[in-house]
Amino acid sequence: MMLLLFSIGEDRYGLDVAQVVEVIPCVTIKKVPRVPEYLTGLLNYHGKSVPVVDMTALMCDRLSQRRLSTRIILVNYQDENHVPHLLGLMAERVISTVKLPESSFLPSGIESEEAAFLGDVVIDEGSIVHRVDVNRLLTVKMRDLLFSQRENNNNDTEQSNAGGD
Amino acid sequence: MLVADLESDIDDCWNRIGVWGAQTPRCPELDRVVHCVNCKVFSAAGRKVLDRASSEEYLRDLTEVIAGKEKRKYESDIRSVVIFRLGEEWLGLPTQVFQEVLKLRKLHSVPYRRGNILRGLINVRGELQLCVSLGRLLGVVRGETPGDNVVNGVYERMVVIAREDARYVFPVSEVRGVVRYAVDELLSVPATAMHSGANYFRGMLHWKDKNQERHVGCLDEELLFAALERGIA
Repeated sequence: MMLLLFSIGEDRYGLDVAQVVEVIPCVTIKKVPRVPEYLTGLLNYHGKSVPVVDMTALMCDRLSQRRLSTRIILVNYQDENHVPHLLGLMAERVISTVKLPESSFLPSGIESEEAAFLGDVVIDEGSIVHRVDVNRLLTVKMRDLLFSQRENNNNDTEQSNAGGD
Repeated sequence: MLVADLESDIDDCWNRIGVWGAQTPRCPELDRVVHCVNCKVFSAAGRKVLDRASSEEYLRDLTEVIAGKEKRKYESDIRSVVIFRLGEEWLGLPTQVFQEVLKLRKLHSVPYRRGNILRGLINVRGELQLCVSLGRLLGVVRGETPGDNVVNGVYERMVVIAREDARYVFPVSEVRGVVRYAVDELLSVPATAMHSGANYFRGMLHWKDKNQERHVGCLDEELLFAALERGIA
């Protein structure tokens, strides 16, 4: 399988490329007032409004630094009902991918409830890469914040469009 | 990080030692990697360049691109056709059915079979193939308007197409080349435009040929092969 790598500090993490839609530069994002720090804001992605979550803020207590290598990874996030949503993940050092056999992954042995999205680990070039499961990235509370309202809004606009035609 | 910081931060050993290690002192790593492009020091330094802050102008431009209409086409939505000319008519046929484009060659006519679309037999690499007239099938009259970038006869070719077991050869006035298009670029055929020939078309393609804009009728290979089979029977 292929992992898209990103870094938090010196540590490396990887996303399954099958869940990645596109990697885009760290463009201007509309901030949303009075939301948790990890929610960077809303991205205008080809006319769609996509929430962007800062992976650095989600995993440690600082924001991603805006550099050329800091990018937004657009992923297909599926909630428990398997409804797909487009989600942007801002992460640092999104500069490489690695191809590794599925058999080389090892269980991490640590299961933290707060970081349920961290999966098994793999050793690449002498350092450990932790696999991140996109679908488990958001807690129920976060998911409701990002998507529940949006779902209704999108349906409304679709209906009004249909009516207009 | 500013660019100035970056320059002092990167140790450009490849500029000092030379990428092939021809200068002395020679880099011991080069014995193993041969050239700096294979060296980890070199690629790590290259990645450091990406640690620069992005300029505002760059971000502004890209924000517009990302916010704008999606231009990307998925590979699965891309089709490819070979564009060729019959008389005055530009036509396209899916590239997959094309086997060969040949120079004009001698046709062996078949007695009592003149009049339908079968024109005769033709020798292609030692095998006899059926030669048909696509113009007759589609109702395209042979005839070229001189001066419209057309040199009479110069580009005439024989084209071999095949699908499953069926294989046909037909002459064309010119083969222009392969064009790729996205499925949604295919326009529907005007009902009045092509007489009965319209039955064989999948759609029209807007094609920019050098400075001329042309419309190309894209043939549906399934319908075409079925019609050819009926036509020679």
